[in-house]
Amino acid sequence: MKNSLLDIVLTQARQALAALQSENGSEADRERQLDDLFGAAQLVGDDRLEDEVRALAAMIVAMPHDGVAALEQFVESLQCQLRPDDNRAVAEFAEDTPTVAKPRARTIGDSSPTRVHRPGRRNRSSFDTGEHLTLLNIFREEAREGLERITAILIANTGAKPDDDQLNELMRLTHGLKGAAGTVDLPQIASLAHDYESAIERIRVGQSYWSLTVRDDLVEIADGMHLSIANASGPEQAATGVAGLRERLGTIGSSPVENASATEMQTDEVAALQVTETHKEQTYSERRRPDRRGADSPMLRVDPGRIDRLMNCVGELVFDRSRIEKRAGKLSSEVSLIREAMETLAAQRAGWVGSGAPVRLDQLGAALAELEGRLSTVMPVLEAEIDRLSEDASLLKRTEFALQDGLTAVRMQSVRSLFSRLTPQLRAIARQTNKQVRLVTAGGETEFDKTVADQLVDPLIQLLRNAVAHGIESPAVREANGKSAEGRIMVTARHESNVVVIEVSDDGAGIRTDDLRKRFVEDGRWSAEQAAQASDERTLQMIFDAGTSSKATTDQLAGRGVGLSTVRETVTRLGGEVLVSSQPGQGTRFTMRLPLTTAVANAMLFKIGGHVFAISNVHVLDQSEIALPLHETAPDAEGRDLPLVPLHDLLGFPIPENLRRCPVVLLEFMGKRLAISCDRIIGTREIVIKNLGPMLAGISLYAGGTISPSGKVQLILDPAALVNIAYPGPPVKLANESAESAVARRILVVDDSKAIREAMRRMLLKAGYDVVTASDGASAWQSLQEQSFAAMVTDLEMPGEDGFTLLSRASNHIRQTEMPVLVISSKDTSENRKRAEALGASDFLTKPVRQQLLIDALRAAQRTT
Amino acid sequence: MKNVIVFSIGPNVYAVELGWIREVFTLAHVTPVPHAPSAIAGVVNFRGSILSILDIRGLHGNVAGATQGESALLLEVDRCQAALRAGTIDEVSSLIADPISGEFVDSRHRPVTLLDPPELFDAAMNNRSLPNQSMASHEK
Repeated sequence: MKNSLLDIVLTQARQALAALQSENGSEADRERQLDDLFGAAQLVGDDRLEDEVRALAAMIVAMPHDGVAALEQFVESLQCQLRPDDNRAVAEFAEDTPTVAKPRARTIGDSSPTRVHRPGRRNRSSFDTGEHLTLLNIFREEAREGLERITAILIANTGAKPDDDQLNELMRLTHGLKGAAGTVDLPQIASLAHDYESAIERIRVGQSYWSLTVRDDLVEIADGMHLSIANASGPEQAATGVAGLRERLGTIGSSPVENASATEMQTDEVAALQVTETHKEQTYSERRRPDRRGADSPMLRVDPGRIDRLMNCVGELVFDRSRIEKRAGKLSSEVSLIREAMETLAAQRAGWVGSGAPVRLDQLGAALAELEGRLSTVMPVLEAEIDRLSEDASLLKRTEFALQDGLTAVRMQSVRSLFSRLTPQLRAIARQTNKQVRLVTAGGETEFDKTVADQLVDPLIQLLRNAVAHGIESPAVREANGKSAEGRIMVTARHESNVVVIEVSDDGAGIRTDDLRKRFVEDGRWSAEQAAQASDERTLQMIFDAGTSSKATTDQLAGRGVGLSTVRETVTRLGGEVLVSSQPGQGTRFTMRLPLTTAVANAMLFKIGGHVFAISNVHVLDQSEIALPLHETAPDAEGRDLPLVPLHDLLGFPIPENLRRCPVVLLEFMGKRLAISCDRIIGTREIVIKNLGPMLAGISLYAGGTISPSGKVQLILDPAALVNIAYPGPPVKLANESAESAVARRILVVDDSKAIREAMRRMLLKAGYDVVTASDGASAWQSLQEQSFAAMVTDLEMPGEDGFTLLSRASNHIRQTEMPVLVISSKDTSENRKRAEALGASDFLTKPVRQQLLIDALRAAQRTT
Repeated sequence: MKNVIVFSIGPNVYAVELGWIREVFTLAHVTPVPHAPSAIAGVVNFRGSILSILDIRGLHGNVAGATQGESALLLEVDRCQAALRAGTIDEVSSLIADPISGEFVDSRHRPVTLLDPPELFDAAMNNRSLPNQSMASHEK
């Protein structure tokens, strides 16, 4: 029965896949197919399946490319489940396929590409080989530890059922495994872990029964899972034996007697499902609705490669976290040493006090000497750990920046969609004016931040209105002047270093600056003398000022003299600028230069010492006023006292004499509340957050800066820094102090084999180094010029620029920076050794290199130079 | 011989080699940055991005400052950009070492301090002062 329902799901999934893959299918058709698939999945009454399909649908909407791949895989795994024959074929195939699964055996010394794709298929993984391999390696290690722990727990009670705590830990472990497998793009392993978790859950709630056989099965399956993980190399590959393991998990602990109760439970589940079904359907369609709005939808379509980069950052974060955890462990063991010393001292003191006899100086001296001895062994370790912790913090900061960059890239969008919104608008404007206008656009592929693009719609429409109303002449006038009856408006976009330039130009009448001068004199803005002196350029730019219109009469479309000033305001707020140029009789051109990206945030603005400062509005609780002089606290709305950070003192501005009551902003950050004082609260505004640049990166007080509509820089305060001031804790070293030590640990690894690069990267990372890799001499040389390294490890034979070429090219650099260079080659000849040495190599190692050997050689080389 | 821009702040004459200079521009509104390194006079909006303004006086132990309307040089070192307060720009010229003292003089034979942008950036970022022979009297 269940199988026939699954058959329907399979059929539906195949249809959906076909619809998604076909070139000429309509959007509506695709959506219908996905809806039907979801409906079919609901029929089965399996929560897990339903969830899987829902996730698939969401993925297809968000990331069509990966989503289709996932759907394909879903079809495949469903097929395996339903047709054991196909299943075997897949399993055999997987065994034949060489994979990265046995990296330890074959990576080193082998430069052939390790990743083999299934023939006739594109690589659909979210990661490129290197990234994926790195993440897989992390995951494999995590999984090995997890599975070992699972096995240990299972056999801990010599056959007795694990107690609740143990079962909970088993669930936690399998759950963690599931999440990690999903993260590294191994959905099959994830579902296997999910089934394992469900099996444990069934045992925990008593649905399945526990026996020695069950235990042995679970241990065996855990081992099998270990094997599958070792063999799994990507989402498109059917991991060995997963289907079989899942099948075993499904029946685990169900003896004939127990089967009856299990069936009962199933019916209960079905009943429960029916109750919630309607609700689920609702949330599903609610979720899908935004996409149905079509072109205007707020959805971001994102290139999967950009998501990959984010995933990469997640991998880095895992590294960073584990390093910090290790340090915490080390610190706590040192602290226990201090505690021990303290206890010894306390005991001695108690002894002296208890005896009542006077303490001899030599006793006291001995006790103190012992304490000193103990502390002196602990101190250097503590200091070293503190240093490393701050290094870790700076690494974390780098990952944070990378994450930020990655997210920014996700937001990038081509301006084509922006342009497409203009044509209908222009048509409407042209109709109203009885002018003939054609819109020409160019550079639609130019990309920039979606937030910027969204905010540009209004200014662009305003410029189009202006062009039609003031620029383009009526057909009769145009023809009289020898122009075509149809006017032409061009909107173009292009990149120029780090800005996007958008131009709106028309071939209309242009702006006569003399007319403008006349009007400025007429409306009293300029004296006749000023008008005579002002250059054409200056006069022209005045049209952005409020109240200027080049057309004598105001009409519905333009000419009210507000349009251009709002255009400039918007562009300035976005951190850009707008200029105008014009040739009388030939046309007008507006040029907007905008930053590629912006981060827009709601901020609370306030004034202090004549300067405007901002703070992210997310952290603002409330505002109020307090009496002067300021105390150390300020009350919140409920009358509780919050620590007050006097910004006047902090920023070095005096409290204005005429200030009667001091305005305060109440903040909450990381669960801590505080108040800050200021001169005047301006209110909330939407601001564009900008980087203060490398020179000020070390000051934790600011989260960045923003540019006011008038072009002034305003500083954004960092709530974290304010919390640190309000709640002083143990002093923490600033991250930027470790910039030098970051260099001291950075190694450049050059090898044409990705596998070797990654293997060495892992080795070095484990030893606490920080690694940059390059695949040939040319890119290594580029890296050398971009940043400093503590050492370089290079291969000799490489396509393109080989190791010797790199060494001779960089020999000056190597000598000047005294950077140690390790050469690693499989061709260990005395000739090669001599040649490398002559070019400045510190040591020569033979492939394959073991971790310890590499680290030792590196440390030795660093010591000698 | 070095091709430089020569500028003066008060009685002191400085020069920066052309290779480091991306642009010469006039400072817009200068926003002071409390707690900034002592060499940084503030920040300024330069075509939509925020630039730090370095003041050579701040590197010599004095209070850094800069005002709207002054000239500034946009310097770039290792892809890191900052504005250097340039007071008034005197000339673009070729510096010649004085044959007797070995020091640089400009076309009017005034002694010129040739600034080294990487060193300036490094000192500013690490908040340390620069020793300066020609300005010994100004040092604290």
